[in-house]
Amino acid sequence: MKLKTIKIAVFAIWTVLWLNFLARDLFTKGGLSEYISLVSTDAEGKRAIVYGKKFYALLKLAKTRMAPLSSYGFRGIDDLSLDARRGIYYLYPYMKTENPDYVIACDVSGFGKEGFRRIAELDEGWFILKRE
Amino acid sequence: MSAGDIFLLSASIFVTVLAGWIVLYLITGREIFAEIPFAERISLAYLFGIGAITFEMFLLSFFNIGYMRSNILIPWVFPVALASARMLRRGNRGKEDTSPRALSRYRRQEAMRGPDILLAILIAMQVFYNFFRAIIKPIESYDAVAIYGLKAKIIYLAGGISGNFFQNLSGFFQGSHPDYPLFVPLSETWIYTFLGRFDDMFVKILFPLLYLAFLTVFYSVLKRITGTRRLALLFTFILATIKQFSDYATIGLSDLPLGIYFALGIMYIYLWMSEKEKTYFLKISALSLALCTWTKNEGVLLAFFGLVALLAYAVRNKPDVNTRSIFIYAAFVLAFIAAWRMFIFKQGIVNENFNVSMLGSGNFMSGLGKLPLIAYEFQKHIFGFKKWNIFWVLLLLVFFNGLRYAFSGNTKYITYILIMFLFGYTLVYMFSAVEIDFFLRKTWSRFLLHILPLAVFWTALMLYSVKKTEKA
Repeated sequence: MKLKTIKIAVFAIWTVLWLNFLARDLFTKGGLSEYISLVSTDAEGKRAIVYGKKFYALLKLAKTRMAPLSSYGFRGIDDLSLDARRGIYYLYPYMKTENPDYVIACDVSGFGKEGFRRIAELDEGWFILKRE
Repeated sequence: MSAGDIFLLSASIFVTVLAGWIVLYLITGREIFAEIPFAERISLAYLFGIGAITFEMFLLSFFNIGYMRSNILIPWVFPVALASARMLRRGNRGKEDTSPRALSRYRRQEAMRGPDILLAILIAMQVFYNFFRAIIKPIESYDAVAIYGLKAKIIYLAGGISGNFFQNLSGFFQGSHPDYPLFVPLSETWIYTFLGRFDDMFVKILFPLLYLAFLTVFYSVLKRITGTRRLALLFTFILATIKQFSDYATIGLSDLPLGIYFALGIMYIYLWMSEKEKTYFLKISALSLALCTWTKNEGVLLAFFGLVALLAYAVRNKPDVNTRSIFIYAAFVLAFIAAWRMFIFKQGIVNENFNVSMLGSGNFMSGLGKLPLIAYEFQKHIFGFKKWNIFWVLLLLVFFNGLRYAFSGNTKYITYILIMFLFGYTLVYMFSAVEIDFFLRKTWSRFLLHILPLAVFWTALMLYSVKKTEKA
């Protein structure tokens, strides 16, 4: 087979697969609707879409309510999860420690901790506790 | 996004390119201005500029100099003066040939046909899509926030690398890998410092710019070697649209820059092998391999492969090769490696996934048992088209159908590097203490990015060899 024929065949197969995966990302996996939402909002809105609206609202609330240089811990999300990583990144210079001044509770209705009191909340399951 | 922000961001990119331009000029001299196309030069300038500025920032931290725009820029006064003086002293020598004859030759070569235009449009579409995807979201993917973005934020807010930076990372931020070289964090810090504020959406423009700059160089080098635009465009299109490659151009990890600098290093060695009088190819290669070690720990292994290939070439072609230039090349790359390694050693930091203490016969024997799992993961990527399209299948077909080309001429040195990569990374998996299933699942798709640009380059060379034979 001539090289030219091979090149055309490779290009054709390649392009079909490329467009297929592009279309899948945009239409099947919801990429397009996410991009439309991202384009039509400001920086805060973009972060809320990416992090998840409720989780981001709680992180923002925590930033306004925690004392400078204090520490926090999460409740309701796994330590090695993407949410925890985003939270640690977003909240820095607040530091996540084992024995924190604040607890940021994510979707854990009815959770309480001895020696801590609720100081802010989004709703019953999403709230912030402070060491008394 | 205000007009002021856009101005500052553009200025930061301009300064980065200017820094790279000066580095390129100082290490290569004026010849490249006559012989390398402008688009390739400016792309190299960006790639080297970001590397040079981040390494400068690392050096500033040794002298406890905080990161302010002026502090980072002032040390550049001397190289700028040196480059200007050299430029003035050399006068017009080495300027581009703009005679009518040269221009008509250039224009005749440049005439694009339908398929070329189609390929260029498709590449442009992918590039625009990547820029859009990068800057529409803040830094958000797992390692981008857990490792690189976090370090950049810490360094920026502290105004430099504080004395306890590495200890704090080890103590407070699990999985932040304090031992990783600081290319990506410091490039983000550089943009924050220039902007004067933390903005993790703006900063992501760095990554599609690396992608675009590399594609430009890749195309230019392939076109120079093959003399055909079509083949160069086809393989630039192939590389640009490999999903894993284009996705990683938008998220802010160090795997893509590593693959880019490594490929640059080897591509310019290859160019030098064909035209040994052009020593600037060797200098560009040395700088690229040095920067490859500055992006990620695996860069040391890759640079080692590059050095082995270069030495093998030098030994086999001894009478034609200037031994002194090979020695300087190796010393330069090794000095870069030593700078970071010694620093990390002094900090008492080790990599928990793979380090020298794991290299023992016990781990090797247990590693043999991991081979089926490793092979299984490898084939998943070869035949899983979702991330790589049909590239790895294409590479294997080209390899087995063109064995005589793979192991002949200067192409064989790149073939050796691909083989060393396969064996080297397999050994890392075998010796590592990390649970193998987890390690493979989390890393192999990223590790393949380290070799991908070079593998695409090699595939293009192989097809070009077939084409040459067909013509003959």
